[in-house]
Amino acid sequence: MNTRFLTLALVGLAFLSLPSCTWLDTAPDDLVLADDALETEEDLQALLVSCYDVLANIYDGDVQLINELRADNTAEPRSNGDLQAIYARETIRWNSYVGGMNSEFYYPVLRVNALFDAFNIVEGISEATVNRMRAEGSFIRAFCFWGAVKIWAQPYGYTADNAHPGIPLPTYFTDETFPRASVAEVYAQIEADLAVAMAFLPEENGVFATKDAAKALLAQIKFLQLDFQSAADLATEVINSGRYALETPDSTEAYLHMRLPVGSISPETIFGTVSNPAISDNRADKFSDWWMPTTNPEITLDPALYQWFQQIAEGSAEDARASWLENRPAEGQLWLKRFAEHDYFNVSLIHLTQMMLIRAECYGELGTNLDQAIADINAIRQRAGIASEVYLLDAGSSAEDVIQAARNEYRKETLGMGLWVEQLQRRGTMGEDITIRNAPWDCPGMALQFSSSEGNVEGFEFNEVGGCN
Amino acid sequence: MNASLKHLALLATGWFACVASALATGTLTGRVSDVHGQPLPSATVTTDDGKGAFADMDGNYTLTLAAGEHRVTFSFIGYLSKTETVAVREGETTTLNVRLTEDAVMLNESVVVGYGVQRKKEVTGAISTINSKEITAVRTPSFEAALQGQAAGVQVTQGSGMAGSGSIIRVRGLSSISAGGDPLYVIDGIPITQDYFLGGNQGAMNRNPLASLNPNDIADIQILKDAAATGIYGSRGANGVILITTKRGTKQGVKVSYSSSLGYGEPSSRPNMMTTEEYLTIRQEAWENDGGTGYVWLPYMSTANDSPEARRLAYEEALKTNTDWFDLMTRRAQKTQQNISFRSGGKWWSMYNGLSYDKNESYAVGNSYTRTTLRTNLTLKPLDGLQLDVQANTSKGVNQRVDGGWSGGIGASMSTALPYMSPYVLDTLFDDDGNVSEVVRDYELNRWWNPYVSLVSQNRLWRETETRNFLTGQLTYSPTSRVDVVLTGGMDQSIMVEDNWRGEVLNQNDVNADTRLNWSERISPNYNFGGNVTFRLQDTDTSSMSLMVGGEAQKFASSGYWSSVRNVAGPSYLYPELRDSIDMYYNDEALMRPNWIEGINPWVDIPTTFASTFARFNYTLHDRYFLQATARVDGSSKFGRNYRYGFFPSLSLGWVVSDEDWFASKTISFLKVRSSWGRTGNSNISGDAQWERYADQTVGATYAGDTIIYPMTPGNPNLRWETVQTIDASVEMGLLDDRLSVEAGVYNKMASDVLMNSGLPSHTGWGSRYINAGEVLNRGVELAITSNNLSASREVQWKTTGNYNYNYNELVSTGGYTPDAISGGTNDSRAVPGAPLTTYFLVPFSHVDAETGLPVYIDINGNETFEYNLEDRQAVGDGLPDHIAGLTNEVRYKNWSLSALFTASIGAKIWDSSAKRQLGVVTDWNMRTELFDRWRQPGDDAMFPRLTLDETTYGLPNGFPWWNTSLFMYDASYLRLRNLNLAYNVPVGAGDITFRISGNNLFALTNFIGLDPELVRDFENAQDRNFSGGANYLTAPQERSIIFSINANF
Repeated sequence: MNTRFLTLALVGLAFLSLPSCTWLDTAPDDLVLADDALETEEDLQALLVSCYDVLANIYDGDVQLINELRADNTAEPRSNGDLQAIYARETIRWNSYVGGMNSEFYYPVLRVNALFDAFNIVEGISEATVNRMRAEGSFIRAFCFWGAVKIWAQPYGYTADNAHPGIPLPTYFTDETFPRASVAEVYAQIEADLAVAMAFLPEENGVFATKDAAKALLAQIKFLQLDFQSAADLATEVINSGRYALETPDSTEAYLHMRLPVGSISPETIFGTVSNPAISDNRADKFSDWWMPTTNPEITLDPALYQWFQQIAEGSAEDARASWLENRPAEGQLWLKRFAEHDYFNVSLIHLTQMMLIRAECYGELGTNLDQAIADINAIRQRAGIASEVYLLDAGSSAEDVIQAARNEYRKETLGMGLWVEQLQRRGTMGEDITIRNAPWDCPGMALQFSSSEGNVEGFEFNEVGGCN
Repeated sequence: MNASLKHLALLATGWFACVASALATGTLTGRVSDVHGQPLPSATVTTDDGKGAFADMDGNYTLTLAAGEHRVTFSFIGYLSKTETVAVREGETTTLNVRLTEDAVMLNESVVVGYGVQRKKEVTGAISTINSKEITAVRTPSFEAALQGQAAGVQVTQGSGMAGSGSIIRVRGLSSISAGGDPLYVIDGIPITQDYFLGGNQGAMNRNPLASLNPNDIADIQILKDAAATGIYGSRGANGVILITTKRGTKQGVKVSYSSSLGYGEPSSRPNMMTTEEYLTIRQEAWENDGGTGYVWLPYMSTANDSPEARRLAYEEALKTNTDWFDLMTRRAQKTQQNISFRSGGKWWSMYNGLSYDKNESYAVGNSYTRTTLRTNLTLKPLDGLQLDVQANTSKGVNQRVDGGWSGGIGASMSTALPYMSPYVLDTLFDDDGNVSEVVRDYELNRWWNPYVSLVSQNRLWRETETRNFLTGQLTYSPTSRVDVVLTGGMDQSIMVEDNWRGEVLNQNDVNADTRLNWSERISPNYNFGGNVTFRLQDTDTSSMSLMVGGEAQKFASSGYWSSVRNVAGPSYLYPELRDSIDMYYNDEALMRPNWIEGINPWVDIPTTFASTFARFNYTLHDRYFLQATARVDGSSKFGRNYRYGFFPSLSLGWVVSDEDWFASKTISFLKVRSSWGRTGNSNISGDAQWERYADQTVGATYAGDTIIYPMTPGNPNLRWETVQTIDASVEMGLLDDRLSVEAGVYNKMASDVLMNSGLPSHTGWGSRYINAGEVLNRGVELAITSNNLSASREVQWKTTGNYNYNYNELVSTGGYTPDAISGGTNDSRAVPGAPLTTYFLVPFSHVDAETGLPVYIDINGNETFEYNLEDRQAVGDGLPDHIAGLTNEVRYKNWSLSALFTASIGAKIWDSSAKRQLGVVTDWNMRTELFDRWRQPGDDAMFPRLTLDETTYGLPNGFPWWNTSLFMYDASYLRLRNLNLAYNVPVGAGDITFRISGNNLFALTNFIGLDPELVRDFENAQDRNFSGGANYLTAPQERSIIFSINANF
């Protein structure tokens, strides 16, 4: 009997020992696990670069198009239902285009938060490097938060205290969920991030973010916040840095693709994304996908824009930018040709022309430095080939004239780049009677609907659908 | 012990018979067989005066008996004993042949229970047994489909008529959300690789890991259903276990079995697609309803912006063509099968050899599955107490693929293939003088994607070849009569090679190549080894006690690579040197790859391992009280260290009431009650779910020339086992001298910590994450009946077997996640707490407004509305049946037998996702004639609303044409004649020949207006497979087949 139980015990013990062996420690061979991914400074730099990579993916024409469709520059998209819904300002949770973009804005945010988290793990990195990476990450996070809040929330100034709902604001590495922060909180976070960026970003940083980029981004933000003095000051700092110059096209082709160069960076670019033809890495393909005029484009221009363009540019015969537009009466369409037959171009996301026009309009609003404002506006007009005095701004032009001229140039120069709608909304917050395609600038549907995935957890506050038509 | 005594008794009676032969004796001889005439080797023949003999391999017996009258009893395990009175005359030979009838109760039948065998009487768990005859009787694309209707509580939904398609099997409902919900398959003791998604979803079909198994090699299948039965498989028993035992050799001599079959198959139903005239009429009406004037524009022929005259010309041109695309893409399929097997053996060995060739064309043009298998099962008993079993099997399954569903083929014939389009165009050729020289027929390729082109072998050759190798062994050593030591080991290896070659015609849009071959190879080995020791601790006349302890370890892996090759003349199975070249360049990165190899990419290898310890304790008292306790500890590499191990106990009791002294019933010959409780688990998720993963790209898609690294999945180090707690109670009865057996049971399965791959909100930056959060309830009733309706002595035999299952399924909780967090792929099924899994989450449709013809919906408050609002989506139905049943009747008369298997399913709903466009907004799809019942004028009472080309007419959001309304959800209840089988058996010498004709899926009674109420579409992952069992998207119908076969045994 004792032998039997001894045998039993031994056999039992033998089998019991099975699960405790290292047999179960099977780290996947070909997977990069978190513990192994971020071990060196190079790893962190690669993580940081991946944030730019996403920015290049979403600002390859997609974000720009969403914002164009919310403005009054384009006609209704020809067939794409998702785009038509944006144009109608009637997006729902299941609009895959809008939802996909909603998600993609947060990829860089997650990565930046992962980067900041990893500073506590990876050793041997100099303080200067950490500061530089933190500054670049802060810039990218601010860029994304600002890009997203402009699309998925009513603008800054929509309410007096900006307590209206903004976007979720994840600021640390987690898979936790967040409620929507108020627009005031979102802008506060953006400014805090940009403060870090401006403090530690280098003045030269290749194709990546610089101190100027942070200042220029903040200048745009201050402009929307109606803080014209700060906007003008920041823009002036960037302009006066001497690191940027207006592009001077020397041919029709060069005018056509101004600020969209192939194989080089525009001298105007303060911050932008790059393509790489060598590895078939086209970071601007959506521009051509949507606008390409040689193959029945999905996106055409609003006839009213065309009419406006012709009227404003009374000297259109001299305005080389007129070549951007093509009237196709046979098709009943108006095409934007800036992206035609043009692959692998580098995209200027923040550029000198913007700074000059923002500064000009700010000076107009402030009623100061009008000479500088007029000079800025005329420099841009002259760069467009306008030489006749009659088409340039008079030296004694009023502040109102300066403002109007700056706005007109801004709309022209940024056509197709998705920067016009925020100006219309800004003017709405200033009390102007702004309607966008017969709907108030602040109608509910102007804030696009969030991705359906935001509703995966109870309690998320979605935007109101439609209400603009 | 009993068998030894019996042998001893028989020897003694033989000796006495010899002595008696010196006296006045005669000879009694004859043959013992079953009701089909099949011999019953080793059947026992005994007389009332104690003499006896065993039947030989051919069922023949001989007894020398004293002259006079004798009562002779014939018995055989699994059959009802039979006693005959016979008169033996001195010096003469009297012949008495008997046929025994199967015992409906079969108390002494051996039942495989996992790591062992038990007498059925002792079994305290819920186990269904299906024998080889039932498996091979029904011709199916894959063997598991033949389980349909054969076992209570086992729902089998056959995929489709496509060759090699798999089935979904649910044992007592569905408990899993994101982890695989299929039962565990164990062949000869080894859990096999059964990943349906190793090949992803290609051509609207998932790879079926069971397709290469030969049903003719299967001896029987045990389906373990409750915790007492599955508990010994602990970690992986939550969704049931299917134990497959392959055939073994015979004790002596050689037996040869040969079967050959030939048949044909066709679709069980055909879609009611519109003709050109019908489609144009419908389209014109929609156009006019929308305010259009003149002729409607036609996809591929005109546009809405064309002039009225251009539209008219296009319309008239369209009327000249009327293509029946479904007819074009289907055929009468041929099926042929050849099997030969040898069973042999001697004193210390036995062997089974089986060779099978099965070519199974489907009705889809170009589609077939050809399986060749070779199996050898060897048993050696070199010493007393020592036995070695080795099973070796190799099979090759060749699936000649075609597109289906959303990918084309038959799916296109029900959607994008418009009837006014032709697969061909006539090209006029001119000579040098400009005269017409020839008019040739060519494929229509310019205006649209012509789905017929890819069915032509010159344009497309797509083949998946799986080589499946099993090698399993079991060494059993019994050092004493009280101890058995078993060591097991096995390997299951799958080598899947896919060739997908597109010729010039199909590859026209490929700017980099004239032809293209996408080639891949994936090798998936699965190793298993373990052992167990059984101690018979006590074995007396009144009680017995045994303990089995064991351990097991298993490793799954899968790796391979794929390559894209351009400008080659064909696939690698026609040009083997291609494979050699790809191999060479893959294995030696230093070699400069030629231009025609565009890329070679490895698949990530994610090995997973299990390690388990288990024990089973059995106690029997007075051969009528039974207790069984099992316990199992499982560790899995799929979970983090914190929760790697799971503990899965079970306890079960059985009581044979009819063996009690006080039990006296003339009606009830056997009565047993049993009950069990236990916990089982499920870990059938991806091997990388626990890990927080990053991606790195050092080449290719970098940014600005710099390397990038980024987080991909959040991981969950606290992931743990999904656990099901089951309570089960059953009663088994034998009635009317065991001619009728009834087994009825109830069960309650509560799954907790259910694994969920929950979608995370966009702002987290993550996509989804596995968590343990769900709770799922399955509760049900089972009933199984076997009845020998007529006395065994009659010439006519009639046997009925039936089973029924009611199952209630409820998703109790999702841990705070909303329905949209967990969905079934693109199928609009969602995880809705309080509703069953597979619930369709749709906007409820009320009716068509008689005045306006517009659809009327039900909003979230229950009010009728014209507004279609996705926020009004509700749980409107589900794809799980409430009731399933199977009924087999078999009638035998002399050498004839006729059997019919009916299956039924009640309560499930089909969500016909493709009907959104076949019966909804008029688009560029062909439509079904059911749409004729549409509103046309005020006052019409119609099923479908006014026709329109504009989705906003129905209230759909601008740019959102997906009409997710319950209008397209249908009752999927059906009664199907699954199999009708007529056979004639001719005894030939010691053997016999059986001629058989069988029909499968001959008809189905249903209210479903689509193709077939029984369907399984393609899935993206296990969660989709769990959730969308009743979803249809251009799914091919079942196959109706007629098979002629001949089976000879010698």
